[in-house]
Amino acid sequence: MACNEGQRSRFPSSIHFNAVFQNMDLWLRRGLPPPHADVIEVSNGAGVLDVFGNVLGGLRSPYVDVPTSTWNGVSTGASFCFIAGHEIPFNQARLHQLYLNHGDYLQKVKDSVARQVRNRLLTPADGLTVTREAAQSAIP
Amino acid sequence: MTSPTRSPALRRAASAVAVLAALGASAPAQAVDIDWGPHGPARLAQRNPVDYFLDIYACSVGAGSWQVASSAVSNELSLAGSPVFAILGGSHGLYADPDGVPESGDETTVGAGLANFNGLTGALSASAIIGQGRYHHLVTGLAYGSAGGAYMLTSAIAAVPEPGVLALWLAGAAALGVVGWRRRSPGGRRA
Repeated sequence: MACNEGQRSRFPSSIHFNAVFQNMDLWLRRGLPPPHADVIEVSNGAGVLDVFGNVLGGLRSPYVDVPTSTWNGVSTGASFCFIAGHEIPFNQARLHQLYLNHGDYLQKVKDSVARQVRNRLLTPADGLTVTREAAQSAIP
Repeated sequence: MTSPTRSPALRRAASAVAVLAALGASAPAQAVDIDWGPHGPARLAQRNPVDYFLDIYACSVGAGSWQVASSAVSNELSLAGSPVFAILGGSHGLYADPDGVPESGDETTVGAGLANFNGLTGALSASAIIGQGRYHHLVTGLAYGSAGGAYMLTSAIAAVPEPGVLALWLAGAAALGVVGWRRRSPGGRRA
């Protein structure tokens, strides 16, 4: 789907749905209460953004805690562009500013994954997928 | 007992079987170079509470084709409805790891791949036919009981017969069948 801002976002929202289903299953079948997450910070009706242009608060993941792109939840254009969102990848200079080398980036992703899995906001299987995706990337 | 002079057909058949057996014996032996890593045939691992674990058990296999079957079992233990030993969202898979360095980015799923524990307890199985190379089992999950979580990983490996060896086996069986048929057939008996 091509919108006015380009290709749709690659943001894998499925990781959050998987965590929701995992926690709902545990809650309903086992009585384990689901975890709490911070709400998205909002000011004057708009999300508050960090220095990378990503929202503060909300469900966290390595995609926003160890960012390599600015993620936009909405796009303009035909059809479902309004929910497709789009991504603005960081350029190489910015990636090198953020991460010393690939190992540094990977370790930060692993730390973020471990934190979110422990908080049950990411399933272990998705944590593994995200970690391996980071390992196979060429970032920075 | 059948004397050699009374059964030249049997002698010929026996010679054929002997030749086949010799061919089979002279086939290059498969290199066995299996290191199942620290888990050996079975591994019981205990994790601490709220420990996100990612355990890797490396192995390497030699030339030939090998059938690998493995399973990870996690049984929940609860007291008064509260999990004491439990693993949440556990996964188990078998991966090819050409460079032998886990999580270096060159890993690929082999065979059945990842499957997930259903909730807090369950068993996962993976099965695949693999060739020479380096591999690892991976078990991951969140130990969520008040005392952590535990799982047991077992794996077994067996050589898959090469097509040539299989053909020899079939030829040998066929030769034995011919011998038996000739012995039972009136026309096949010799005075």
